[in-house]
Formats: sequence, C-alpha cells, structure tokens
Amino acid sequence: MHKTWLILLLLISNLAHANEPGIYFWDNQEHFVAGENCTVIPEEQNPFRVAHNEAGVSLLGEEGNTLSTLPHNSLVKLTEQDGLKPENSLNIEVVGRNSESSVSESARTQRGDVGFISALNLRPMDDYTFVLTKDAIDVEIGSGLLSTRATVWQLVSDTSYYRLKCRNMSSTRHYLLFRILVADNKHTPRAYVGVSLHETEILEHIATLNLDRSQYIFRNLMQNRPLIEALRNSRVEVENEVQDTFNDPDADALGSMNETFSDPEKELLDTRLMICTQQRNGTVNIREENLTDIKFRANLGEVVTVFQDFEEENSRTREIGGRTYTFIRVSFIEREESDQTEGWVAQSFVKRGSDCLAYNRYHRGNIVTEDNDPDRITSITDSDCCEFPLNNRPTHPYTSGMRRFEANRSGGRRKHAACDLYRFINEPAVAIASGTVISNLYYFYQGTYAVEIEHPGGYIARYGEITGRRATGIRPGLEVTKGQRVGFIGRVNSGCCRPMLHFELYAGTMEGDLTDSSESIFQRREDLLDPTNFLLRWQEMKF
Amino acid sequence: MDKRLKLGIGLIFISIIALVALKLLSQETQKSPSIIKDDKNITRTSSINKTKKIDGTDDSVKPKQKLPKEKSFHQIIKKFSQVKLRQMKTKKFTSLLEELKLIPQMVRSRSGKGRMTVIRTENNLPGTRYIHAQFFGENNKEFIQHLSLEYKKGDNAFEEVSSMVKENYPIIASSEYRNQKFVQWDLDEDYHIWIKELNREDMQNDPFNAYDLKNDVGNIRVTIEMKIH
Repeated sequence: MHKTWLILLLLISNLAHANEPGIYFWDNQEHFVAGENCTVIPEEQNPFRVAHNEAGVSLLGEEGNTLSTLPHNSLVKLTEQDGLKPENSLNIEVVGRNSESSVSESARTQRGDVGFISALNLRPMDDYTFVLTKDAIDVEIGSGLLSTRATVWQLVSDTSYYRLKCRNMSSTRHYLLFRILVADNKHTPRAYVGVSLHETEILEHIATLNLDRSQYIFRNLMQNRPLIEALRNSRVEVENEVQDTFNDPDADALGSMNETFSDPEKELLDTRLMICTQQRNGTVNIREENLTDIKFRANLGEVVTVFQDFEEENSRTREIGGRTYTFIRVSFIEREESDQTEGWVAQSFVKRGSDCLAYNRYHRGNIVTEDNDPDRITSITDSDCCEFPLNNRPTHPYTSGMRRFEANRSGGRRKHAACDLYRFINEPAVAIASGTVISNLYYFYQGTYAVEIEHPGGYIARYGEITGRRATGIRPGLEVTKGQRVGFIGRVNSGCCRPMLHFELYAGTMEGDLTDSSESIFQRREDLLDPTNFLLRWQEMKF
Repeated sequence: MDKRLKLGIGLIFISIIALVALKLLSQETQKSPSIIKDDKNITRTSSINKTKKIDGTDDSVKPKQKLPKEKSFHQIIKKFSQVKLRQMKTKKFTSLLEELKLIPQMVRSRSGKGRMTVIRTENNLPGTRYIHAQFFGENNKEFIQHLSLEYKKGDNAFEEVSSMVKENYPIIASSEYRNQKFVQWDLDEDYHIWIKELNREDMQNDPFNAYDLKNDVGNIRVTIEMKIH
C-alpha cells in the first residue's frame, strides 16, 4: 500500500470527451456536486469495512450484549468512542445494510446504529462491489446523464486507495474515490465519485457482491486497471458555482414565507423544530459565527434544537441583500456529518413541524389512512398479534421485585404502573403491533423519555425510559409496523437502576392524559391495564 | 578540645532554639487557615446571623457576594418555589416567568388522548438557561409533570445549586439519594427534585436542548418531576 505521493492533476476542459466519466463528490444534501480543479492523491487509510458472517453479524453494546444483528455483507465505517469496549472488537457505525438478508426486520441493525463488531467479522471494502438497490436515493449524476438506481459502486484501489481533492470541497475531509458503473457498459466507468466518511447516505441501500460474483456479472470489470490509465482522457465537468444555483437561499425562502408563528392555544401534532423552506428542494444557509461565511446548507425538514447562551447572546442580526435577518445558533441532532452539527441560521427558517407547510406537503411519511384489509389485526388481544417489545429476553423477570406491575412505590403510597423490562443501554425497543404514534417524545423520568403509540383495538402503549435518540419514522401521526423500532433503551441518570424499557398498557377506553395527578394509586388513567400476561404470551411466541 | 566542645554545645543549643522556633511558627501557620475558614463559614450564612464580639457589641457580618449566575438561579428558584407544585398551572407559570423578565414560549400538543403543554423561554438570565416545563391535562385538571433548568458549570457549581435548592424548597432531608454528582430529595409524596452534573450521555440526543459536547460537560441540571416511575 506504500507508494510515493503521486498527485494526478486531472485535465480539465481541453481534454473533454463526451463519453468520459465525470468527477463528482457526494453531499447528503446537495447530492452529486461536480468537482472543480480536482486532484487525486494516493491514500493508505480506508475507514470503511464490510461485515462478514453469513449468519449475520452481532452489533455489540459496551458490555458485549447484542444490540441488533447486521446482515452479512453490510457496509460499516470505523468510529472512535470513549468508554468500555468488548475484547477484540472495533467501534463502528452502520452505513448501509445489505438487502439480501434473512435476518428478521425487527432484529436487524439500521443505518446510523453504533456499537462494536468483532474484528474477525470485518473485511476490507476493496473485496466487494455495491449495487444501489431500488430503495436507494434516486438522483441524477451529471445533468440527467445517469440515474443512481442499479449503478455499481466500486472503491478505486490498485496499489493504493485514492483520495479526491477538489477546489470546491471541504479541505478537512477525506473523500475516497469510487468508480461508478452501469449494467449496459461494464468496461468504462460512467463517473468517479468521492465519498467522505461524514456523508454516506448514498450507500444506505445496497446489494453487496463479492468480487468473484461481481466479475461473473460484470465481466471485464475494471478491477485492476490503474487509475492513471483510466483517467487519462477524463475531464472534469465544470458547472456553475453550487452557490449560484441556489441564488440567495436566505432571501429565497423569506420572500415567499409568511411569518406564521404558532398560536399558543393551538394544538400541534408535530412539535419538533425544523428547517423550513417553501420549496421541496429548498436549502438554507447555515453560517459560521461571523455570519459571513457559509458553513453548509440545510434541507427542508432537518430537525434542529436551538442554543441558549449562558450570557444571553441568543441571536444576532445581519443585513443580507438589503434585508435584515435575525440569526440563531442551532444544533442538527440527526445529522451524520459530525463536522456539520451546528451553525447560525436565519430564525425565520426554523419552525415547528406542524407549522411548516412544505414539510407537511412533501414529507408526510406514512400518515394513517383507513385500511379495509380484512386480515388486519383488529386488537392486541388477537391470537396472531403481537410482538414482544424487545429483541432479546429481559435479563431479569418482570413478574417479580420492583420491576413487576403493582410493585410498591413511595413506601406503598403508590403502585408501579408498568412492567420494567431490563436489558442493556441503547438496545432497540420495538412496536408490539402496527399502530399510530400519538405523542411527541417527552421528558419522562430522571433524564429518560417516553413515546406513546395507539395499537389495534384502540389500546395505547407507553414506551418509557427510552433515550432521546429518535427512531426513524417515529413522529406523531405516523403509522408504525409491528416490530418497527420505536426508541432505544435508556438509563435513568441517578445510576440507581439497570437500563430498561418501562412498558405501560392502556385499554384506550378513556379520554385524557395517561399520567393522572388524581388520588389513584397508580397515578394513571383509569383504563390502565396490567401488561404482564400480554408480555408473557408475546415473549413465549418470540423467543 | 575545650573550644571544640564549647562550639559543639553551642551549635546544639542553637539548633534546639531553631527547632523550637520552627515548631512555634508552624503551629501559627496551621492556625491561620482555620481562622479564615471560620470567617468564611460566617460570611456564608445569611445576614440575619450576627456574631458577638468579646466586648459584647454586635457586628453584622456582610453576606457573601453572589455571582451573577447565582443571583439569576436564586431569583428563578425563589420565584418558582412560591407556588405549590400541585397548584402550578400553565397560566401561573407563564406569569412567574414574565415577572422574571423572561419571555415564555408555549407549545401545546396531544399526548395519549389528552393534552401536553411545554413552556420554554425565548431568553434567559445570565448563567442559567433551558427552562423547560411540561404540563399534562387541561383546565382544572392541569398539572406540572416536569420542570427543569440548567446552571453554568464552575468549581463549586454543584454545591451552589444544592445549597440554593435546600434554601428555597422544603426538601425531605431523610429521602436524600446521592450518587457521585447526582443528588435527589423528595419534595412531597408526588414530586422530587434532583440535581445532576451533566455528562456526555446526558446531553446526547436531547430533543429539546442544544449542546456543544466539547464545552458543556459539567453544567448542572436541576429538575423537579413527578414520581412517574
């Protein structure tokens, strides 16, 4: 892998050839960005690995417990994490799941999951190719020349990996170079794309093939053709500055948005704060502290939290294009890009989910609709319903001790309204049945959170003592499927107890809040049910 | 020989004197901090406490100057503690915030088949931030389930907050639960209050508050919440 630093200056327009591959780099928000004045530099490090074990690879927690199972040949990236680490394991984050897998959906690892994998189960990425499946992001590469679906991605590596460096990309990142092939031309790459460790969304949905199989399917695959030869006649497609195509994103959105602040008496379905533009593909500038430099751009629907400064400097103003904007500092809590997690944004582009018209128009998700399917589960009492809310047996019985329903609290003045299912921190909690999310995530107890889901027959489950990490697709009004992740097991911050899922069940026959301040011994709504027998039955069915 | 003997005796004598002098000096220097400590203890008490001089005259001791963040926190917690938790309603809470010159932001949503109201503030008092109150229910059945705020980290931040909480809330001392940088007391049968020095795990994925994980570890969160577990 050692090689003298060779810098290849890619020839630009004078070597233009219509059929030669373009050079791009991938951005989760802006997608394929044409590289300008690019160079390719040999690189010895490659943080990507492929998880290898035909039975599935266990993603481990810090205590060696199995958090979930990663399908064979899924793509991961190496990360750093403080704290405990199971022996002979490496800390990873899941990038893309191999679509060809027999692992059940509820037990399957998802993109963004972090944990540990035995080093024995990790293989170099260069031994594989990755086909983007039908669920992958479908965007065009190079002004309509090529759709991403079904393209084959292969890491460029001969005696070295290669790092793409272009004038218009972040100077602090390493973009590893991939060649992109299509089924009708297995000889010549259609594009070269740099992918950074920080932005990998394009590789979320993949079918992974080992090289033998790839060679069989894509004969004459350019596996060993040296990069310098491959790029001899390449050109870099020079496009306008990306910024030009967006004009002034601040002004764009502001000009067409009315200031629709929430009426404090109005009940909102989705209370999350998010980036709100008027257009589906609208982006907003996220600026550096000086408010002059643009740090990155944020898309419609990106969830944010707002900083409060201890010294009261919570906002700043700046005039742009003749208009004065008030800027606030926000954090992007769900972003993959660890170097793009905070910045300053014009306040008028931050709204509650329910107040953002474009978000509700374009990102509705699986909003609940009437279903006439006769086979649909009608109640959680049906024999073929439901599923135990964890993917592993609890470590302690929930039928005894302080964990059981009705166990004494506060010296017997109160009773426990749930079953506490002990497991390990960050393991997924899953939906017992299909249903609808009916609450936003809220503070529950000692630094943990809760979410409520209405299941068939009107039964309501409160999944309590979960972490603040939002599971994909969990927001009010959205439909969930049986076994879908609803959150992750949390740990109360007093350190008194083991991590657990606090599981409450309600018949759904009453109105009002689940928690009740009345003199009821459970301090819960009167239709509270003892979930023990349900859980025992679902546990027996699942394990 | 005589001269040497005399010189030797003289040296021993001088050494003894020097040792005695050093001993006395060290006793003196040991005493000094304890006097200062006593003084500190006195100045930390409230201005109502007075000491009597030996001559019998009263000498009011000046109260310790509070830092701006202590003043802010004290103001807030004093204000909040004026209302019994069972009687805390969104309207009342909003008016308390306004009395503190804070601008409330209220968001109502559904929870179960009920209503949840979250109140936060647009601004903050120096050294404090992220006031967050969660109410369930409507009208007469409305009640507060969670109330928290954050205090800026510092050498004695945890102790400062603990002391101000104890000063303003009727904690039940016998219920104390302490674990490293966490302490919790019952306030009554339904509510408790806890104080925690925040670590990375506490701040990661917080869906309401924004954190800079590099700089915010060590801030203090104070939370009053219903015993919901």
